[in-house]
Order: sequence, then C-alpha cells, then structure tokens
Amino acid sequence: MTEAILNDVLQGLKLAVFQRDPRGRLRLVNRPPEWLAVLWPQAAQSDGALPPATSPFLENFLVDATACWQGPDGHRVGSGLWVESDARGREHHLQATALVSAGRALLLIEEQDLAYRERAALLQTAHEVTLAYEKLQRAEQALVEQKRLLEQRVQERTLELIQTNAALREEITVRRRYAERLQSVREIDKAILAAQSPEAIAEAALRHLHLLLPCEHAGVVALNPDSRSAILLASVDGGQFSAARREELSGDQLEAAQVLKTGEAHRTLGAPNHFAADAKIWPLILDVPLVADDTLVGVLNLATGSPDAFTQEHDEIAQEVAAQLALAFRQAGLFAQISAGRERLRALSLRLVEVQETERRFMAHELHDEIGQLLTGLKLTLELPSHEAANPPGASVSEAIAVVDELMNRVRQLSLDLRPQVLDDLGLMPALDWLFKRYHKQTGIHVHFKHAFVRRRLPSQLETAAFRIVQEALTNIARHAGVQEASVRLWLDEEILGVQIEDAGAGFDGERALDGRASSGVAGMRERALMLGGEFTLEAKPGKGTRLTVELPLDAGTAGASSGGTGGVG
Amino acid sequence: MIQKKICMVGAPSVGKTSLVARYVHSIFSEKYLSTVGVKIDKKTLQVDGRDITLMVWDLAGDDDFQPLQVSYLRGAAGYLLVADGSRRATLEHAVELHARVTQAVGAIPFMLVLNKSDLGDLWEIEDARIALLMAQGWAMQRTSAKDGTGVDAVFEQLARRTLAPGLGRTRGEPSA
Repeated sequence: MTEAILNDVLQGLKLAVFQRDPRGRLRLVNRPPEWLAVLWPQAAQSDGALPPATSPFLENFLVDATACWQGPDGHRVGSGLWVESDARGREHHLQATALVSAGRALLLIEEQDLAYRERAALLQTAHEVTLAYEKLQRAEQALVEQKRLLEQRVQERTLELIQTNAALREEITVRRRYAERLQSVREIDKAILAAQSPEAIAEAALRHLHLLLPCEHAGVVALNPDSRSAILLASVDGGQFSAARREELSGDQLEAAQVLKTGEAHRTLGAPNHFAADAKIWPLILDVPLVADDTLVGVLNLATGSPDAFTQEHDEIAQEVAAQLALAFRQAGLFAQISAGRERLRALSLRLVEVQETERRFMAHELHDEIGQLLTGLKLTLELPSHEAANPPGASVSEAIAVVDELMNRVRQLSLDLRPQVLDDLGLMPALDWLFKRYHKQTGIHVHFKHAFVRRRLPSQLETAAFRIVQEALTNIARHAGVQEASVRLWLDEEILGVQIEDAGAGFDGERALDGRASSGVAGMRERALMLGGEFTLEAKPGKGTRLTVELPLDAGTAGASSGGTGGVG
Repeated sequence: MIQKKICMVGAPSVGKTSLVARYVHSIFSEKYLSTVGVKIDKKTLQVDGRDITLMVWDLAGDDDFQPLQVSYLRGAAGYLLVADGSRRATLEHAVELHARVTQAVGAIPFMLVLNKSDLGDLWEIEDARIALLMAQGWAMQRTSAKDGTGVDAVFEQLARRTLAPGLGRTRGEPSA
C-alpha cells in the first residue's frame, strides 16, 4: 500500500528513480513516469536499465554522479537543467540529481516543465531587464560623451570667440587710433593750410601736435637760405606757446645738430637741445627734417622727459606733420612770390593808366590850348583883309577859313575824346552830364541818369575809372545793343562808389567777353575796376540785354588798393 | 564517424542559440529567448573529405543567475567564445570566460566569434582591440546569425581545429 502511494507521488512529481546495482547498471525502481516512456522506452520497461549512451548530457553527468556516489550517506549532486527531444521532436526539460541514501546510489531524473517555465520566464525577464539596463547605460554613456564633446566644443568655441573678440577689439582699437590720428593730422593740415605766414603755420601745427605727442617741448625751426642760421618760428613748452618768436639760432648751436648734417630724422638721448636757447638736458630729443623739393627748409624739434616716450606711431605722426609743414612752407613761399608779383603788376598797371591819362590830359590840353589857339589865330589872319578892305574875301580864302573851322572843330572833338576838361575841372558828375549830352547828340541814344550822392569831388583815379567805364559801356551799347535808350545809376556810401550801366538790347555772351578774346572792351573795364580793388559784375546773355555793375572802394584813389580783387592773400 | 563535442560559451544574449539555430536548422528568429540549462544539437559536416558529427552544446549565457558550469565542457573538443559586436562589454566577458574555461579544462581549440555583424552602425568593438587579441594568437570570425554571414565558416574552422589540433591551432591550445 505504502509503495503504491509512493509510486503515485513519484509519478505525480514526474520523477524517475534509478538505483545503481552492483554491476553498475542504473535500474528504474519506481513506476516509470510518462515522459520516460516517451523519451527512453527501454529504460521504462519493468526490468529496464538506463543505457549509458542514452543522452550525451547524462553521460557527462554520470561522471559527477559516480564521484558523488563514492561519498557518504546523504551526499548529492545536481546536473542542472537540460533539454532532451523525443522522437516526435517534443522537448523535455529535465534535471538530474545523484545522491547516496542508506548506502544506495540513486539517480533521480525529474521533468521540470513548470519549474522550467517559471525559471525561463524569470531568466527572460532578468535578461531583458539587463539588456535594457545595458542599453540605458550605453545611451547614458553616449549622452555623457556627447555632453563632454559638447562642453569641449563650447569651451573651444568660447576660447575661439574670446580670441576673436580680443583680436577684433585690438583691431578696432588700432583702427580707431588710426582714425583719430588721421583726423588729427587732417586738422593739422587744415590749420596749416589756413595759416598764411610761416609763423602762423608753425603755431597752427604745434597747437595740434603737442596734443598728439607726449612731448614737453616742441618747436618749429626755419632754416635761413644760407643754412648756417635759423629762426625759431614758434614753440610750445609744457603747454605754453611762444608763437612768432623769430628767435635767431646761432651757427655754433646748429653745427652740432645731426639732423642738419644728414637731413634725416634723428633721436638724441640725454643732451641739450640744439634748437633751443637754454642748455637744459633732455632725456630724448627727436628732430624731424622739413624737406621741400629735396631741400632742407627747417626742423620739427620735439623733446620729452622720458627716453622711451616716443613710439613708432609717434615717429610716424611727427614725420607726417613734418611733411605737411614743409609743403605748407613751400606753398607759403610760392604764394608770397605770386602775391608780390601780382602787386607789382597792379602797381605797374595803375602807373600805366596814370601815365595814359596824364598823356591824354596833356594831349587834350595841347590840342585845345595850343593848336586851338594857333588855329584861331590862323582864322583871324585869314579873315583880317576882308574886314580892313571892306572887300569880301576871295573864294580861296573862304575855303581856307572853312577848312580852319573844320580843323578847329576836329581838334576840339579830339581834345574832348582824349580827356574832357570838365572831368578835371568840375569832377565826375558834371563830366557824366556832359558825356550823356554829347553821347545823345552823337548816337541818338537817350541816357537815363540816376544818382544819389552829394556832388563832391572824389579821388582823381576813382573819378577817371568810373568815367572811363561808363564811357566804354555806352560805346558798346551804341555799337552792339541796337537800342534807343540806356540807363546809368551812380551811388555812393561810406566805402564804395557804385556804377551800373544797363540796356535792354541785343546782349552778348558775357563769359566770352570777359576772357579778353572779344574786342568789346569788357575785359578792359574789369581790369580797370580790379586794379583799384573793386568788384566787377557783368550780367549779359544774347537777346536779354546787359547789366554791368562796378563797385570801387573809396580808398582806392588815396591809399591805394590792397587787393587785386581775385581772392587770395597779398 | 568522427564525433566532436563543441560548446557555445558567452554572455547572455550574444546570439549563441541563434548561431546554433542558423547552423543546424538554418533558421533565425528576431525574438530573444533566454536559454535555460543546456540544449544539445548535432550536425554532420565534411571537413577535408571526412564526415564529422558535431555535438553542439548550447550553454546558457554566463551571468549571476546561471554561472557557467565548466563541468559541461568536460570532454569538449573545442568551443566557440561568442561576443556581441554591438556590446563592447560582452567581448571582455568572453575574455574572462576563456580564462575560466582554460583553467578548468585546459587549453583546447576555440574561436572568438564576434556576432551581429549586421548591426554595422551600432558596432562598438574597435579594430585595435581585435588586433590585440589576434596578436595573442586568437582566431576570430565575424558572424551574423541573422543573415548567416560567417556562421558555417566558423563551425567548419573549429571542426578543422578539433581534427588536427596541430594545424591552425590557436596559440596556447594543446597539441594533442
């Protein structure tokens, strides 16, 4: 009964129990479980034994089992799970245990379907979790690596940006400094060019330069033509200007100046300044030559209290300013020459006009007073016999008298054309009145004369110029305008005498007339006005009439004109 | 008929069972099923004109749940040391298993199998590491159980090594 229950239990447990017999064979000792009959039918028979080569796995395990069976009672060893496939291909999950019990060597083989499934599910889950964890770890590692790379890239990029930024800042600083330098040099240029004398040029340059350069003394020295002496035109010491000093520097001083020997910029350390009157020792002196047309014309002299105060940029600024100074000095020299020449030309022209007027006055006087008197005497002589003899003169005498009359008239007209006596005797206004009447009589053109000044005498040169300009303008109108009337305005204020001649006639090309190629006399009128420092304005266009305006300074005829009237500095 | 026992050794989920399935049954499944215990398959092949039956012991992947029982390698003529090329750690695991196996059963023919070669973009094992192992005399084969690349070749190479241990033997293997 007990054995039957035990067999039922073992079968329920799907357990096959083998006992090793003395011959070493493994005999089944319980009722065979179902799986055993399917898998190994031979072993499931009533007297069956488990063949040694039934299963490679079992064969391998029996080595361990045999060792186990050598052990004491209760000793056991497990095989672990393995899979066997039956003839139909169905898999059986088995596990074997070898043990020693009451001196018997037993081998238990159990089909573990349920345990296998549970274990397989557990392992499956465990492995999937492990794989997922590994995957997460790899993802995390990848993220960490990416983060590291990103941070590295950010660091590199930040470093690049810092370096680029620093380079840009440096570039901006350099460019800004260069722009400021250019601006300063340009201001110096403007100041130099605006100045008119060498002293003013020097002062203008120094006023800007001492702000650009760290110098405690700056001076501009002009070499005299003999190159053995020089003049300190202007200097600045500690911000104090000494302009227009024209301080003479001795030859002994200059002989030691290296810049004068070589004509090149020179630095002197710890020495007295050759271009200063005092004997102060300067840690650093920079002399930059002023060279114009390959000629040394002066020196820009800079001194400072620190031997390393001047950088290369300071040197460059000094060189640029020196170049501009030299150019300005050369221009000032040329301009002075031109101004002097122009002044000489103006004086000569004035003198020529004076001589011309004097000659005209003399000729007019000679014609009127001398020739006229002689002709009057001749006429009286011719008329005398007829008065005395009460006889009418012969035909020939009458013709002679007529010729003399005509001659006297011609001489009078010629005298008036050369210079009307009324201009010298009574002044501009009566002379113009006389001119307009005579002009109307000769040309038929009526002149509307408007004036607004007291009939007082003006300097002779001024009256002559105004009269001649009006006379020439009216002659042009008679020749070219094709009108029957013209207008003349005359005005006077504290400073100028103004004259305006206007007609509504044919007009002409004013610019062409002014360039002197036309023989209208317009250029001559302008020259006469400019000689006296006056202004000349011509408004003329073909078909639109002509307006000529002249303004003459009142002091032109007394102190002489100070300007040619074309701009520039005399 | 020559019969040789060879074992599949490696970490879990490196593709040992898939390699056997591809080699023995010419099948592949994307579904991963953990191997529990041991499953034995056999396949006969010809090597140099000789028929050989390989008894392929597919051992559960070694981990804390199922540590490798080196007793299963008793009587083995050789083993395939399998690693997953897309998981660098499995190669180092294989190196460690090799040491354990060698200590237990001595130096027998083996081949390093870098499986899952089809996962090119995910490949993690550097050539330098492989070169280092090959410099130690290891034989290596890249395989893919999925597309079959190198599978037959690696079993055939191991079979050849088991037949003639003196020829093409991995350094450190016994000569007899």
